[in-house]
Amino acid sequence: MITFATNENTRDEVLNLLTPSVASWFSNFKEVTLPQRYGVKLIHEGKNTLISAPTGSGKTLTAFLSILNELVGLSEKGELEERIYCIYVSPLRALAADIEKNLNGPLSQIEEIYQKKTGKTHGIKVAMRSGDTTQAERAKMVKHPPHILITTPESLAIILSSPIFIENFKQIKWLITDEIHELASGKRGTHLSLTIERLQGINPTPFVRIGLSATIAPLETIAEFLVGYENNLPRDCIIVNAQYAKEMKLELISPSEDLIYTTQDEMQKRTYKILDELIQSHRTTLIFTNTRSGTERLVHHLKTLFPKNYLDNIEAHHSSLSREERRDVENKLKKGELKVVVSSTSLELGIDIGFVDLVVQIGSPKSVSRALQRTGRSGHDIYKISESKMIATDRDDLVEVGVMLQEAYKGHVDKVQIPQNCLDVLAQHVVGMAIQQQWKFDDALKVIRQSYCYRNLTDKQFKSVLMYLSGSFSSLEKFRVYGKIWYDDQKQEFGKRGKMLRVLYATNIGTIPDEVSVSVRLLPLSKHIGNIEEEFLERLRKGDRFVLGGNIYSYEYAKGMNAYVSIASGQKPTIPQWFSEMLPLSFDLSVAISKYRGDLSTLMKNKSKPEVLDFIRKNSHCNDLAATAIYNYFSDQMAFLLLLRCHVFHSDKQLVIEEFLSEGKRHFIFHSLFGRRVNDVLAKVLAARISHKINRNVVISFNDNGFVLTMSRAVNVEIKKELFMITNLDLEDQAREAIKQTETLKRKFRNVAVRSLMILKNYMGKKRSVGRQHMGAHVMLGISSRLADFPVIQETFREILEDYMDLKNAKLIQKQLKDGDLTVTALPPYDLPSPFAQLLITQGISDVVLVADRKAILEQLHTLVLKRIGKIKENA
Amino acid sequence: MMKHFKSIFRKSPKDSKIRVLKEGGVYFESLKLLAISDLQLGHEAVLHNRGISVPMEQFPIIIERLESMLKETSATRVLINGDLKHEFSKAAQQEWDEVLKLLDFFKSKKVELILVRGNHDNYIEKILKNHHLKLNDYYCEDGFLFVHGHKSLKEYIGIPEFKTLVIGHVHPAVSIKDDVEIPHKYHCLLKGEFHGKELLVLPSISPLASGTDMVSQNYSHDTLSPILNECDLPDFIPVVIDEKGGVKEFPKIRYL
Repeated sequence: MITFATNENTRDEVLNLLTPSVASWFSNFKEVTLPQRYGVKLIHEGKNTLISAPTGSGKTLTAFLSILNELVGLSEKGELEERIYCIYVSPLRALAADIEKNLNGPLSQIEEIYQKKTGKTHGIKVAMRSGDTTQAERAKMVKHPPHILITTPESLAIILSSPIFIENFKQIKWLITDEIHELASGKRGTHLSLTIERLQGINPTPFVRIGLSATIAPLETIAEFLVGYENNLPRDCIIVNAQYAKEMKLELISPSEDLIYTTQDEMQKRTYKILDELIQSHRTTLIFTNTRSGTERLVHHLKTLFPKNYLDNIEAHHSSLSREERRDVENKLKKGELKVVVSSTSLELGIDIGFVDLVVQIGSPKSVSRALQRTGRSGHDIYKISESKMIATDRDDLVEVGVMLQEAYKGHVDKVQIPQNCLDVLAQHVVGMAIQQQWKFDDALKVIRQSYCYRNLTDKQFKSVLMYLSGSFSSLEKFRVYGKIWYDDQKQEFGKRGKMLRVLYATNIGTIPDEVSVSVRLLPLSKHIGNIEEEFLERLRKGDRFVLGGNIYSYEYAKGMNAYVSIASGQKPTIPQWFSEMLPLSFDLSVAISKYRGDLSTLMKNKSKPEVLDFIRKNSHCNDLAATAIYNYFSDQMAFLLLLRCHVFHSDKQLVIEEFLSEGKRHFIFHSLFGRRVNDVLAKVLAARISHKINRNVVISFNDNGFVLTMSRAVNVEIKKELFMITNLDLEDQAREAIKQTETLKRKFRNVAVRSLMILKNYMGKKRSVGRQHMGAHVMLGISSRLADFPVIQETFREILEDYMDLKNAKLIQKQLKDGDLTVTALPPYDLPSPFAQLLITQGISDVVLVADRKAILEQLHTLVLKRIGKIKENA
Repeated sequence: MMKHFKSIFRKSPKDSKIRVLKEGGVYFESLKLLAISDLQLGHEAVLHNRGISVPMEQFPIIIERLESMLKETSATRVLINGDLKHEFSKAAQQEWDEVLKLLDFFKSKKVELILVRGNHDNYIEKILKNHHLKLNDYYCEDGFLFVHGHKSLKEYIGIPEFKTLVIGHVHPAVSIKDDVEIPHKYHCLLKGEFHGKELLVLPSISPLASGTDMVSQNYSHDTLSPILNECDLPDFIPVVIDEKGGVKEFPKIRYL
């Protein structure tokens, strides 16, 4: 059963649990923190425990205190054996390294106390194993295993299939998973959940599972993820909810009272001025920008605008930097050498970053939990308040963050979505399992279903993975020699095939797709000017112009991992930015914003302006400029709607569709504020339907606030009717059909194929470039699509529909439409988009939904080319 | 304006009577001959040995394509313009099997087989000999000269006079951008001029071929055909093929 901890212990009660030397060390702390008052005893009693608390609230020590105490106790009794008692898993290598240090400190202090008294030592060893650990160190660990092993999810999985190492893993007493909120929502967490169940499988007694999590909801689900299932029921777990153990203060700032008419330059100027003032009035500021490019830009601008203030005391930190560079920045931060550090998202997670006293978030962090997580990075000490200033970048951002703060202060946190039945991760583990031993079908499935992520895996799905891995999908029997495992369908058994499998497995394990960046070099001197994603390069052709670091370049040619460009200043870029680095808005927050739109508009109708402004200020914890800007934005939209004789306003119950006519084009703008992942599904399905009907392509663009369908002005569509038509369709089937011809499918297929070990990144000592992987991928996609139930294809669709898009909530909206809980209002055609639509029209992510008829596609491309030639000739 | 379009499509007097088939073959009506190129049989085994586990589906797909093309045309002969198989060095098990099965297939269809040597076709002559088949360096009939295209014509001895040169080897493809600048890649036949004579470049019939994009020019000239290197490629006309969408002639590469 999953329950919540209710028993709070006093300081003395906690101290009483501890052996004298540990108690004497722990009494140095003036106060016992909230997670410690609830959690230490639970772990002491051997209960599975999930601790949710902000960073800096002493939760790591909560997890370790009882463990250190027990090990010290064993040592003092002379019963400490040379074997692994505790495994600590962290998603970040840097964090793991920190923990090693943070354990060795207390351990030596406790030992010192003991030594003074008795002259003896404890000899408790902590060691870290990660991808960086040398062969010699690993060998040493086999002979002399540490008592506490610190590792990463990937290294733990490799250890599991190492026959010599595994002997040390059969009497595990505790397993700690850190940053579990971050892991659970992605495939790394899925992977880890199976690793943990396999580890449990080789341990005769259950180990105690301890999870550490930042603010997230629902905690019950995270607890189930942590402890897994047994006999179709979640194992027992007690949740320590100390999410509000630390005081937080968030404020929303708008650089201007009017975000529509203030020019870009003016906005920039004001934003940087605000930033400089904030930085100068604090000791150390951590700024989050969401994107890597934003990080670089911000550092550059601060340096140029305030050269006296920022020289050596400012650094950028993002995932494109090398590990050494990042480590260097982190060390400078810890030593207090930096005034300001600018990060994309990379400093969100719990590595110790020292004395940051202010967090600034530029642009919406897209979810309440992320906003809180980031805020918690300041005042990294239980007694200090965490403080965060949120600076809005545009008017939609302003409203979004305004609602985010409203929700944060109400204690509403976004719900986590945990991927289910990922067949690619499963395939990897099945190979690992086969290396470990020979399996019976049912025994293996039993272990797998103990993971929360696979508790509902069907026999058929599991069998498809075995068939795929054993090469049984091939029509030709004799080619099964190419299988990685053998699978006997009669005896219901499987095992490994080939001697190379272990090496192959160890070098290809993991779930993070490689994002290879290509170096961009400026001709004629080939000077390195930045990086672009390899996928972006694949779309470039000679003469294409694109933006990099604020400058425009013209693409010339590529050689190996270098792209050569020339300067194209003064000319417009020809390549739009398809690849949005932006995080998607959480569904819960989207709905809250939709609701807020309705609430605020009602308030504006019934109350005086000062009263409304006062409400916005208090509700969104924002400055006067921000309150005015929100007010103005809403009243502009109201005026627009009234102009078109529309008396309703956007809300979570009211979907407004605008029809905007531009030069030769008809745009249907759906103000469906349900987040990008939901809008992606709705837009694609609806566009596919309409394109089928009018037999022409429909261009879609979408963002978190809505989506647009663009078609020729010559065709007319009864949009409301079409929308209602899709309420009767099987949304999943329709969405599957609609994504069949998209770029996303190809890209995701490649990643899934790599994770499924269909494409090996590392093989026979050679590392394959992603370009090579990709070249094969679209061809392989075509070939594999011929096979029904091929798990690599199945998983690609699942990942797109459930993880990348949000089919579940799209279905929810579909149901609301059908049941009439969401009313639809279609506006008459107009030659201007509404204020709420403008950013969507100009900045949405574009895609085209092709007519399903391949012949029509060819015809259209042909027409398009003719049109382009026509243009060339006209201009000449 | 219209006049200009016409000039793009107008068939030159040198144009031969050929039919491009959506499955990737080209039918030469006067010869009753179906030409295909670059089958690369056995490619999967090679991919497996490089760590890519592609399902072994290439051979059945090629057979399906051949069946359909033989049905659509009245071909009595099939010419394979090089690279029947994939592996450079010794023929692997899969290749042996599939090459033999392919020969059986043609036998059962009662079509005559003409084979032109490609750069991948080493070690194959022994198999062919048993089937009384010859591997030709080139094949010429009625003014059509078929060579694989991996070597310059100068490297051949005794090349006869010809009016149309037909090569393979390149796996030509074009990518065409749609309304929102997303490129769509298609295999294609290329038509152009080679020293004043007509040149046809056959697409690869292999479903495993990803195609060399003639538009983006991200290819290296060393891997392209020496014959094509002597031509003005932007002036070539791509005839795009798509198994489900059919065949469509596009304007010259320079306009794509």
